[in-house]
Amino acid sequence: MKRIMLVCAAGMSTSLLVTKMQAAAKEKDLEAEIFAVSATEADERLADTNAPVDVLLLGPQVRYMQNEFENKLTIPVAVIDMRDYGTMNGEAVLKTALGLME
Amino acid sequence: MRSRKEEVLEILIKNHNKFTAKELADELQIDRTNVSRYLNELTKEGVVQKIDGRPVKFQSTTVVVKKHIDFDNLIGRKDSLKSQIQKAKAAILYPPRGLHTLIFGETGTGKTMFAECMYRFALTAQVLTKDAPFITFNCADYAQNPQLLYGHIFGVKRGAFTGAEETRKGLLEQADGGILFLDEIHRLPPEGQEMLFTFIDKGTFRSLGDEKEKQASVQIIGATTETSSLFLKTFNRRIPMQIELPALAERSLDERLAIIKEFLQQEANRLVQEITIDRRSLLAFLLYRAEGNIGQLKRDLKLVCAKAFLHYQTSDTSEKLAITEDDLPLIVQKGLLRLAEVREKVLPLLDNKQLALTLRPGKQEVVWEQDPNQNMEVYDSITYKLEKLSRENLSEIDLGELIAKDVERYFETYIEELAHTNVYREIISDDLWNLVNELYDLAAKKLKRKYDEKERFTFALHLNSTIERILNGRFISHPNLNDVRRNYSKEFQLAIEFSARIEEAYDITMPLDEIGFITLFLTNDNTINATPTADQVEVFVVMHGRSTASSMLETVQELLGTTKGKAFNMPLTLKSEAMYRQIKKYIQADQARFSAGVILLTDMGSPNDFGKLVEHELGVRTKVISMTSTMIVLESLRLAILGRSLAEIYNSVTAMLKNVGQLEAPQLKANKKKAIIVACFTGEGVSKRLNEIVSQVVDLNEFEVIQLQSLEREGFKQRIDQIMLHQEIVAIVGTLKLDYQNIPFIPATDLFEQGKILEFQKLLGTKISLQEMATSLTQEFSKNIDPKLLLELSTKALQALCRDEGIVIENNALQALSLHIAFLVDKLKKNEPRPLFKDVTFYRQKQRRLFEQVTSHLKVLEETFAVYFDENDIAYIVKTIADDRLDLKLHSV
Repeated sequence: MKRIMLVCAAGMSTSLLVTKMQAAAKEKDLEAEIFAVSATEADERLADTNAPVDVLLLGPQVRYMQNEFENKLTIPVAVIDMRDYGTMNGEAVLKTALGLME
Repeated sequence: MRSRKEEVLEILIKNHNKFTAKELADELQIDRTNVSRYLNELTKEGVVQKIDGRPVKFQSTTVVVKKHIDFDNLIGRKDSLKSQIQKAKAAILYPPRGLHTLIFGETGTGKTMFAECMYRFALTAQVLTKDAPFITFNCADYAQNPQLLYGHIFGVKRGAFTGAEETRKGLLEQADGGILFLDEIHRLPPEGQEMLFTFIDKGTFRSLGDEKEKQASVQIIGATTETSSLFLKTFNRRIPMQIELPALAERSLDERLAIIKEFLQQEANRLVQEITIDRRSLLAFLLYRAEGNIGQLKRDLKLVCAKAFLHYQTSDTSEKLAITEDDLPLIVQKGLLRLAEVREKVLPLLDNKQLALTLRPGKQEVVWEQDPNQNMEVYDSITYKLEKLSRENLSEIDLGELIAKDVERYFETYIEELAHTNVYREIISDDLWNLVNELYDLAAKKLKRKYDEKERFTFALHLNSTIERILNGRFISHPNLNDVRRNYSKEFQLAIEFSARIEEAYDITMPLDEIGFITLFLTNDNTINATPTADQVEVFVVMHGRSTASSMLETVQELLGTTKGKAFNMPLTLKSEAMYRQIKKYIQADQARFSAGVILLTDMGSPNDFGKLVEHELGVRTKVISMTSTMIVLESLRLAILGRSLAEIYNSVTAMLKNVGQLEAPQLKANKKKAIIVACFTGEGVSKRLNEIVSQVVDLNEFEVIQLQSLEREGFKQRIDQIMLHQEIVAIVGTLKLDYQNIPFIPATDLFEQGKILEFQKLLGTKISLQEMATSLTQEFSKNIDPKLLLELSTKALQALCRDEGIVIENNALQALSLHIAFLVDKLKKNEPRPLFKDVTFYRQKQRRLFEQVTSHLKVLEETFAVYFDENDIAYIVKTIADDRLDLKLHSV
C-alpha cells in the first residue's frame, strides 16, 4: 500500500483532486491511500511514523515549500504540473506520483 | 459633453458583463473600429480588461458602487438649498411639461449639477420617461461663430450656408421629450435669443435654411452668471422660473465640510487609496476665500490630492495619501488667518482630539456626471512624469499645469508614454547615479552627443558590476581592445578620463580592458545611425482626430531622432475628399522627392483608398497599411530611414503585424524546456544578475535561463541560432537592443522594476489558459456559477493586488492560488465547511496591510457572487501570498 500526500493552501482545491486520484486508482485496481493536508499541517502529518508517506506532491501555489521538504525528507517531492492541476486531472497526477516512487 | 469613449466605458461599468466590440458598437450605434480603438485605449489605461478568446471580449476592471446625484443626496438640501430645491421641483412638476427655468449663480456654485438633479428628479417623479434625453450645451462654445451656434441648437438644413453639406439635427430636436440645459445662456446673441423665445412661446422652431416649422417638447433650463438689468429684463418675461444658487461663502460651514468630505471620498475611491487630511489643512479649506466657489474648492482639493499623491509615489515610507498644511496653495493657507474670527463657529465641527480626517476607499459615492474633477488623468500624468524625470528634478512638476482640464493634451501625453520605456534607478545608489550623470554630461559636451536617461542607466548598471568585479579581484578581458582603441579613439580618450574619476571615487584601479568596455558605451551605436540616401521611401501618417496622427508621428520621430515622415490630421469634420486634396497637394509640391514611393499608414476608413488614387493620379507608388499603431509607425519610419525599398518595408511591417498575432499562441515544443536568454556585453556582470532574477521569477521545470555575451553581435546571433535548433526561445533580456528572429526583446532595465517584471511574466504566459481551466472544471462548480468569470475575476484580483503592492509571484503559483479562491467561492456558495486558520487574530495583526489589501481586492468577487469571505478564508490567501512572494533583491548595492 502506497501513501500519497498532497499539500496545498487550505485543501480548497486539492480535496477535489484527491477524489479524482482515488477514482483513477480504483479504476486501475491500485491500492493507495491518497489524501491532502494544508501547508500548516504538513509537518505534523509527516512526523507520524505509524503511517509513513511514500510520496509528497505540492500544489503549485505552495511550490515555495519544495526546497525545504527536499532537504529534510528522503521521500520524493514534486510540484504538481499546473496543467494537470488546473484541469483537476487525477489520472495524470496519479501517474506522476507512481512515476516518482519507481 | 461625454465622449464616445466614456460612453463605452460607462456601459462596461454599469453592466460589468463581458462585451465584444461589435456588441458595444451596435449598442451605441457607432463604427466598430472606433469602438475597438476606444477599448484598446481603455485597456491600456487599465480600466478595462481584454478577455482572450474568440471573439475577444472586454470587461470593466472596477466595480464601484456609484449613485447618481439627485436632490435626495445633494449637500445642503435641508439647509441652504432648501427653497431652491422646492422651486426646482415645482418647475419640473408644473403641468403639462414643466416650466422653463433660469438658474443664476456665480461661477462654480454648481449650476450644471443642479440642472442634472432637476433632470434626475423629473425621471423619478415620472414626469419624463426613463429614456428621456438630458442634453447639455455651453453657449460660450461657439460664441465667436453665431451661425454655427444657431445651427448647433436649432439644426441645419443642407445647403443653408457654405459648409452645410448635410442636414443635421439640432440640440432642440435631440432633446425632444426631455431637457435641454443651456449653460452661459447670456452668451447667446440677441438673434439667437429671439429664436429661443419663439420656441419658448410657441413650442416651434426652424432649422437654419429650412422654411418648415418643427415642433419639439423640450423643457429648457438656462444657467447664467449674468445679473445685469438688461439681461434680466429680456429673460424675466420669457422664462418664468428663476432660481438663484448661493455662493460658497453664503453656505454654512457644515455644508462646506460635507462638500470637502464628499470630494475626498470620491478621490479615495477612484485611487483606491486611503486619504487623510490633517486638522489644520481641513480648517484652511473650510475657511479660505474661494472666489470660484465650489468649483474652485474642488479644484484646489484636487491639487493637494495630487501633491499628496506625488509624495506618496516618491516616498518609501508613507502608506497613504496624507494631505498636510505644507501642500496647501497659499490662498488656501490664508484661510487659517481667519481662524481667530470664526473660532467659535468652527469648534463644534472639529473634535479637537481627532487630529486628522481619514477617508477610506470603498464607500458608496455620489457622482455628478458632468463633474470635470472626475478626471483622473492628473494622477496618471504624475506617475508618468515621475518615471520620466530624474529625482532631482521633482520640483519641475507643475501641478497646476497638470490640473488643467485639457484632456486632449493628456491624451497626447498618454500616447507618448506608450512609446517611452521608463527607467527605474532604485538599484543604483545615488552616489553612483550622480557620478554617471557627471561623466555623461562631460561626454555630451566633449563629443557633442546626447545621451538619454536610458543609456545612462544602462551604463550605471554596467559600472555597478564593473566595480563589484574589480573589488572582488575578478577581471575580464576585452576581445577587441585594439580595434576599439583604433575605431573610437575620441571615445577611448574620454573613457580614460572617466576611469580616472571612477578610480578616484571608488578607490580602485581600472584595467585597460574595462576601459575598452566603457568606450563602447560612449559610442552611442545603439541608436540608429541615419544614413540618408537620395531616394528614401516617404512615410505618411493619416489618422482621424485633430492631432492623433501628428502626436503619434512626433513620438516616433523623437524616438528615432529624425524629422522624417509627414502627419495628416483628419478632424472628424474634415471630408475625406478634402483630406485627399491635401495629400495630393503635398506630393505635387515636390514630386521628385517621392520617387521611391510612399507608405501610407492609416487608422481606418476612407484613407485606405487614397493609396490607389495617389498611384493612379500622380504615378507615385504607394502602399497602404491600416490599423496603424505607434509600433507600426515606428517600424515603418525606421526602415524608411535605413533606405529600405517600398516593398521591403511593406512586407516587413505586415509580417510584424502577423507575428504579433502569433505571439499570443506560442507553439509548444513537446518535452523541451523553453529558453530565456539573458545577455550583456560581458556575459558576466549584468547578465548574472539577470539570471538570478529570472530564475526566481519563472518555474525552472518549464524554462531554462541561458546567460550569454552580446559584445560581438554576430557571434551572439549565431549562438541564438544554435539554441533555436533544439529549443524555443521565448525572450531575450539584454542591455543592448536586439531585434532578431522576432524573438521578444526585453531591456535589462525592465527586470529591475517590479511593474515591468509583471509584464515580463505576462509575456511568458501560463501553462494553461483560463478558458481551458474553466471548460474542464465546469462540472465541479455549482450550477449558478460561471466558472470562467469566477476564474477571471480571481485572477484579475490577484494580479491587481500584485501590481499595487509590488509583489512578484511565479505564474503557476499565482494561477493555482486563483484556483484556490475559485473553489473557495464555490464552497461558500454550497455552504460547505471551510478550515479554520490557526491563531488567525495574531496572524492578522502580523500581516495587517496585506490582510487589508487582499480583503479590498477580493471585494469584487464578494459582490459578483454574493458571498462573504471570513478572516480564516482571507488568512489562508494572505499566507500563501506572503510565502510565495519572491524576494528579488532589486535594491542591492
